[in-house]
Amino acid sequence: MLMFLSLPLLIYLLDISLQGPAGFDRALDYLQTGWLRAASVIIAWSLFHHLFSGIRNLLIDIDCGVSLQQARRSAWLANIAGLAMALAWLWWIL
Amino acid sequence: MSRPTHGLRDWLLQRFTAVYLGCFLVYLMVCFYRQPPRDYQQWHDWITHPAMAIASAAFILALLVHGWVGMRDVVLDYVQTLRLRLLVLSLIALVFIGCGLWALQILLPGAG
Repeated sequence: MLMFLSLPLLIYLLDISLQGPAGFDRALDYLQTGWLRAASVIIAWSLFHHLFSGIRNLLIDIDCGVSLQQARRSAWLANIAGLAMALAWLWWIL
Repeated sequence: MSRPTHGLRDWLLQRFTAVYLGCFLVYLMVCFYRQPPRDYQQWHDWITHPAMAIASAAFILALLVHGWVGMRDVVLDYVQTLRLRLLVLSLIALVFIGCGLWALQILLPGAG
């Protein structure tokens, strides 16, 4: 849901960033603003969480880690990995 | 509204697009991490390189399909009345079509 809602914002940034040098700088300025930085952390978290749980689901589809115990463990791993990548992102942009 | 084959087709679509989206995203992140574009020219040249333009246009299409199947499933699960369902689905479809045309129009003219 969140990724869906962030789509127009991201395309807008792509749009202005390709409208010439001034647009590129304007897009960078936007990315520096506090609210967009905060939003980017939330977007990064949802994206990484989605990515890791997606990989987990694909692995389960091809019969990797189907047992309940393994599935529970990989679910936690996906949760933690998503959070860790969001924190790494936060650390990177600060 | 749905025929029996749609479930499997969508399931497959969702997985194929997922693999492409995942690979492309990881590629993007590696590129940005190793060499973030410093100015407009670098950024423009990188993204309008024909291979990159085609790959990112395919990314947009895959993203729209993947997003549509996902959002539609959420709506079918959580919105129970038919009218509201149609309304919400139409709005989402409009946003997706709009975003898709917008993004392709940004990415594709530069490729020529």
